[in-house]
Amino acid sequence: MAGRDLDILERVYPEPTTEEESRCMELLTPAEFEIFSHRMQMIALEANEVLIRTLGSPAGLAGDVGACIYTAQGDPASAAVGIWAHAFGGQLPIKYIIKHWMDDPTVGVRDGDVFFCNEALCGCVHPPDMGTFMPVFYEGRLIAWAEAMAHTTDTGAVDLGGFCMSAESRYEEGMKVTPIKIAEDFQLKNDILTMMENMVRDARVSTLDNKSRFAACMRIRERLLEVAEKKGPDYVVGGLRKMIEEGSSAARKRIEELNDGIYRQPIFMDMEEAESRGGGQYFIRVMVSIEKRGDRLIADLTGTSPERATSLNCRKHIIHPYGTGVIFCSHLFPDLPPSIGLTDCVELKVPDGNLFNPSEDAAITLGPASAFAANQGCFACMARLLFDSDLRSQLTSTYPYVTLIAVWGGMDRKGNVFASLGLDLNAGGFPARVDKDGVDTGGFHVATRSDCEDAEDIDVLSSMSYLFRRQGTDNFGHGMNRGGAGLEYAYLAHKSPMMILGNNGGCGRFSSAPGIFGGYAAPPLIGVKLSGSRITEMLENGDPLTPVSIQELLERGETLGGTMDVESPMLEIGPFNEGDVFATMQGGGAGYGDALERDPASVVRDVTGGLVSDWAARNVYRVAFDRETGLVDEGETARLRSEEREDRKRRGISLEEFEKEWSRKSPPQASLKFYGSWPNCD
Amino acid sequence: MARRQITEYLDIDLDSEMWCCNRCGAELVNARDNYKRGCLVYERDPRTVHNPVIEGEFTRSPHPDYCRIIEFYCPSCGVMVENEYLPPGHPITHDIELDIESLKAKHATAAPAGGDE
Repeated sequence: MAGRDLDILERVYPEPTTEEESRCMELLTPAEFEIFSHRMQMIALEANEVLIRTLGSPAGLAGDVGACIYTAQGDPASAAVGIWAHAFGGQLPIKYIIKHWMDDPTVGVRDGDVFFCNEALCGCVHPPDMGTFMPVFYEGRLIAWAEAMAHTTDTGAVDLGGFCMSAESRYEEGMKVTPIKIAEDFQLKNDILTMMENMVRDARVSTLDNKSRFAACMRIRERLLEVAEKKGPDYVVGGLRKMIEEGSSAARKRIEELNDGIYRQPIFMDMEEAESRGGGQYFIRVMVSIEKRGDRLIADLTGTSPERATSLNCRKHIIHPYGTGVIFCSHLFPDLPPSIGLTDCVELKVPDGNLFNPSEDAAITLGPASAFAANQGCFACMARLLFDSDLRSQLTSTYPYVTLIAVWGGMDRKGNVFASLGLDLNAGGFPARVDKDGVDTGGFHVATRSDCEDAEDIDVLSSMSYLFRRQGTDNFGHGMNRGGAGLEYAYLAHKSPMMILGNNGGCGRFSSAPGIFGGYAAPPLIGVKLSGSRITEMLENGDPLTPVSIQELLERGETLGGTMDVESPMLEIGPFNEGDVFATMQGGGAGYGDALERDPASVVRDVTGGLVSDWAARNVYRVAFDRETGLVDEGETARLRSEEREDRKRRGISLEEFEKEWSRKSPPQASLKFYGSWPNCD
Repeated sequence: MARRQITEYLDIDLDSEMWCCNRCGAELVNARDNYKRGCLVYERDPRTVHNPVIEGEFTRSPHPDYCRIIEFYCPSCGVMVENEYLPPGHPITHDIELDIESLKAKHATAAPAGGDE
């Protein structure tokens, strides 16, 4: 179809080095290159800061952004985040622009132009992730591209907030713009801005975000030209290419040191079907296999469930390099300047028709959630790959794949229309590490500088308030090192003229993050909907029985008035009326190592701090302690743990014997309706 | 060549080509096989690890119709080498399949005096 060029989606690796780039690279001494590399990092960081300080979208303000400097060929050379998908997300749209518009007399690429794109079929992630791309010319010569990307929270799709639970094809997912000129001669074009405003629910945020992205691109351009003016344009051209080549070389050298082999991890996405489609739980399997050979990694997603008619489909360029960017830039090589070169040792295999390689018309707005599941599998595989290496300190257990994203809209207390999403996803628990616990409410694993936004901001920008925000008890995987606790929180419709609320998520019945090396997984999540409560009245009266945790909500159910439903965290979009409460939690990090090897004093510390329950201390960690003094009974703890180890040896059987009975079992058939063929999705 | 620690609880003895327990030293199974075949296996009700906080379908504990915890223990010392959360009947994962020849060659070159222990 016109406008689509799927070949572009394959160009995720650095373009071949040109003769001009080779010549220019020779001009930089090692010392000059170090200075240049640092300068580019500072420029990207400055642009990233411009975005965070000026965007209108709450997602953007919370750090759902990225800024990047690209070579003239469109390869990411230096980035700052936000989210790695955003930092590298201009690669394919820029290559599209170069291929299709550079020599087109009706479009062209000139100094002062800025292009916009949010179309996944042109290389973006999904429609809410909107990017602008600006060519940087020095005396008429194209020397680089500037990119700024940010999640704008409404696209005019069938569901508000940009994430479309109910979409069954791309045609329900709102505004999708192929690369188009949004500015000429350094001026944003009002006709284009107006067109976009007309397609979405929140026109103010649409234009504010476009202006912010434009400003960030302008800042990159300004700074690059300062460097070109001082050191010459060849210095910039050569330096940018050298950042990619040096990054590639350094990454491959480190990969080569790791043990050759194949590492595998299945992930089971536990989802809830929309009531409008009949409801019910279903599994999606994401099968991750990483083969390491020499200086190459082959990530193979064969065995993943097939494409389906919901927006969980995900285009494979989201996995690589946007997804692998998280692992390589944030975790494996945080000491190396981030560029696309760090990830070019990865080859990706995804069969056609797979969830990660869907047909052109597939809905994809919730695709990042599937990508997070693939990432989760990668982290588990990488832990096994990294342990026997100099990179051992970099390994982690797994992050929660479920990032619960609330979407909401309505009229705020000043009468403004709003359509937005919740940033609580930026307060998930981080995984346990090889030598320490995971960080409690650490953040969002793909968004390393993200923030969960101030509760007061939500109060101002919507028509609801937080009833509570806290770190949840036992909301992580137990282990020798435990995962970090995920955020537990509740929204309360309060002084609300009109509001609707939904929550994208699942994982009500299955674990949310698998552990590693005997560490336990993080538990499932729940959503508690309390309709027509008297909690507003309780707050006004300063009632000490006003609940401040999900446990208290559950325990005080009938005394709170209204009707309580305990479900999975998935909440279909619907009215959120005065006094209504919706409480849920973000997943916690998974555990590392055998819980019986955890330092007993750390268990008691967590019990005292409300992060570990008495029940888990007794039954999982097998720690005996005095609840009043907090002192561990070392002798009794050693006895309890020894008793459990002996019991394991008594109750365990051989795998061969185990499989005879196990292989005859299966989950409920209804849960496999979108799974593919049981059990291996062949 | 000697033992290499491959995970928190697993070593490989490069001479005998066996998976071994890192904690007690017991030999488990051939290093070219799935180490889980050398472990004791136990299917655990997830409610004994994740305490249900409420009765009903959604309890904050994995639902046993949908999820079981499979634990793998060292048969000698009882340390939990690994576990998997799986839908009932899903095949056990062969999660580490090392290239033993490559590993031996690497350490024959890199560490002629012995491995990491």
